[in-house]
Amino acid sequence: MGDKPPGFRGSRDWIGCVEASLCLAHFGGPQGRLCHVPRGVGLHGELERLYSHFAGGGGPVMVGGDADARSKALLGVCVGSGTEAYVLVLDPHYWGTPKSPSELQAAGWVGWQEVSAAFDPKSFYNLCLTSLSSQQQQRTLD
Amino acid sequence: MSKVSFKIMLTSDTQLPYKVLSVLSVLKFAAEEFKAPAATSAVITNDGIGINLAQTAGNVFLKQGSELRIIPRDHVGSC
Repeated sequence: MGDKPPGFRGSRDWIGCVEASLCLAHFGGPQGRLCHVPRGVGLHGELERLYSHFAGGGGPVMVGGDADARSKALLGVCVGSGTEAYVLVLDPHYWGTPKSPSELQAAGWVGWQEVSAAFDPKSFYNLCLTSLSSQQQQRTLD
Repeated sequence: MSKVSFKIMLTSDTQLPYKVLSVLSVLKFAAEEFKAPAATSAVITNDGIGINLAQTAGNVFLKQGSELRIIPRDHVGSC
């Protein structure tokens, strides 16, 4: 895509949600909108946006950070009474024969996590919210 | 649409050297102004669209406008 210098290929330099969103645009995939969550702020401030994203048919949300660089994707959000809030977290490292949803959940590859526990206050995060364009949505309906 | 580039010429030099401004140049300058490391920063629009630094500043201006944001680049997984 030309966004990295020539020596990047074959190197051990890192990429994240920014590069993922550029790839989606370059290869004609779902749209990926980036949302930055500053260090110390936590995800509570973005829960309403995440809720609207999923309620509006949005796709998985890729998550990357700095102090917390563990890959994860968000598949849903649940806001309880008071300050309780949970996110449905997918670990994208699974590989091999597809298992049933219950087997994946039992093994910890996907599950609900309390927002404060899932996100490190010492890390900033970039979220990549994926969604189909209206043209792509029409193609899936045809 | 043909690409538009900003060609900046130093007219005080009789050789009239010029530079073509890329988005990377703009990012580096802006990052320096904010004391943010350019190598670990990225540029996005106000509504979250990532900007490929291979484009020219002119192309970005035409497609995305002039209001942009710098965010730190994140890591995903581990090497």
